[in-house]
Amino acid sequence: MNATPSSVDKPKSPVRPRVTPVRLVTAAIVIAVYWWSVEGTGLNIVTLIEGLPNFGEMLRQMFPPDVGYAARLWEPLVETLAIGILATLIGSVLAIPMGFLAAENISHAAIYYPARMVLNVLRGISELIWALLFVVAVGLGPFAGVLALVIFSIGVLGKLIAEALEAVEPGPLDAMRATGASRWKVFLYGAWPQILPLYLSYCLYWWDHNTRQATILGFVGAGGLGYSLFFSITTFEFEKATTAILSMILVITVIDRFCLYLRKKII
Amino acid sequence: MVTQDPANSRPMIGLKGLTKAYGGGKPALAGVSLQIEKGEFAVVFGPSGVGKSTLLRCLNYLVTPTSGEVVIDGQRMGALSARELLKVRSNIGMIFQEFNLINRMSTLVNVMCGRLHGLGFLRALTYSFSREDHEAAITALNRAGLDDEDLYHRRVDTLSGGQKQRVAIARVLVQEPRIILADEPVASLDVKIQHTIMQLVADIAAKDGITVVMSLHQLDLAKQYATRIIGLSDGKIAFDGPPDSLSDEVVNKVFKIVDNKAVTADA
Repeated sequence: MNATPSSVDKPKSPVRPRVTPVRLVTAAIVIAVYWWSVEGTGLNIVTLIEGLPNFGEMLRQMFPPDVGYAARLWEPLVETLAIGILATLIGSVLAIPMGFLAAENISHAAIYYPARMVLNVLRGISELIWALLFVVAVGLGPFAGVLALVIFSIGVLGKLIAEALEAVEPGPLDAMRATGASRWKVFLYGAWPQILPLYLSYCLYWWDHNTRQATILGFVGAGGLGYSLFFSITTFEFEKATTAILSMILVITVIDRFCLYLRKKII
Repeated sequence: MVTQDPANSRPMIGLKGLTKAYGGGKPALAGVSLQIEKGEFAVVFGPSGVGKSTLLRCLNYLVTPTSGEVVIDGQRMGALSARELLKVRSNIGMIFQEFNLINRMSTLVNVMCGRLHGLGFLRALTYSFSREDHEAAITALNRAGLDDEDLYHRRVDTLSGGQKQRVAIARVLVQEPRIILADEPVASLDVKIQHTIMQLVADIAAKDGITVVMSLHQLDLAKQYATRIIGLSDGKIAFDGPPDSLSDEVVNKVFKIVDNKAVTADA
């Protein structure tokens, strides 16, 4: 230590204390949050253990699956696929202008905030709730499901597009502006080509997600396999429920594989 | 194409007290006033960070000045509507140090982007340029020294630096501009190509009667090609005159070189 005569203090220890007041308070808060969460959700290991026999009984009833039921699942299965495809197609296209309007570096300052707000609202309400609302509006069936997924897809993809746009290289944007191109042309020519691969990758992922969502929208009456599952559970036909669940797994696996294949192919 | 405005007397570019401050700091430009006549090849030189880029970007209002006036061919830029501003910009071509091409698009499409201002809605939306635009692009590419047809449909990110700047120049040519702004156009190129590109710009400007304003930090190039040199120092004009009147003394003053040591260059 290069101590000068004036410095009478001991040199500071290089070992930092590991227990500090801030860390203690943080730990206390974390423990409190978990405690409240346990209380609030009624998490109870005893109840779980007591419920296991019921679960075993249900599992016993679920097997063997009702293979004959599969024939009647064909139609809802196709419906599920259709909901996923349509919702992704419409949602991903409508998300483009929304993403453009919500990108700070390209959009107009007066439009940027409202566009962000709209995307937040679309995304802030879950697909199931949108589905419930659309069932009320357009009636039971897959159309309500498509609408619900379209709305949510716009919210999510719109935000992802906006963020991708905000991260593009600014140079080409300047070059397009300098030619006298209007804002949307600057977007279309300066920015869009830069984010296109990312956009396609988002769309593929979101198709996968939408198909998964489409399988459960039936629980609120918005079409697809979910309705068959919901129906067989509520009528205690568990062997049919198994068939429905297996169909869902099949659909999701196929889409998942296919998306993976496309991703490699396109990007 | 130069229209015959009643305007041989009025300057192509007029600046009055042009000031630009970013945030609260020292202004990049502090009251620049000057006039540039039609057909002049003006090089703005000075140490980096001195506001050369800002000055160029104020000319086409890519950067909005904090105060002062920019008059392009008789039109006060600050007084124009958004639509009129785009129109004026379409007559001002700009080339950049980093070329600012759209990497994922072909050479031809990149060149035709210079025509974005006049491109119709449906054509712009579908990335389909007219036959005339294609022909103009090919003519421009030839003039810019790219006559190899194999290059036309190649993605521009496969081109060399010199080729990229030629594409960027062709993009400016299809604008049929009255002014070319060039922001350090050769700084990213090797020495041999630097002269080729400078010669190209000088030839085009002389032949078409285009006014050029170029920022440049290489004085030898400036002296060789420019008809007028403007030295910027601390956001103000420190020198303005023909190349042969530029003495070492002035250069030292602009770059604040004392005893052969740059004091603030690159600061």
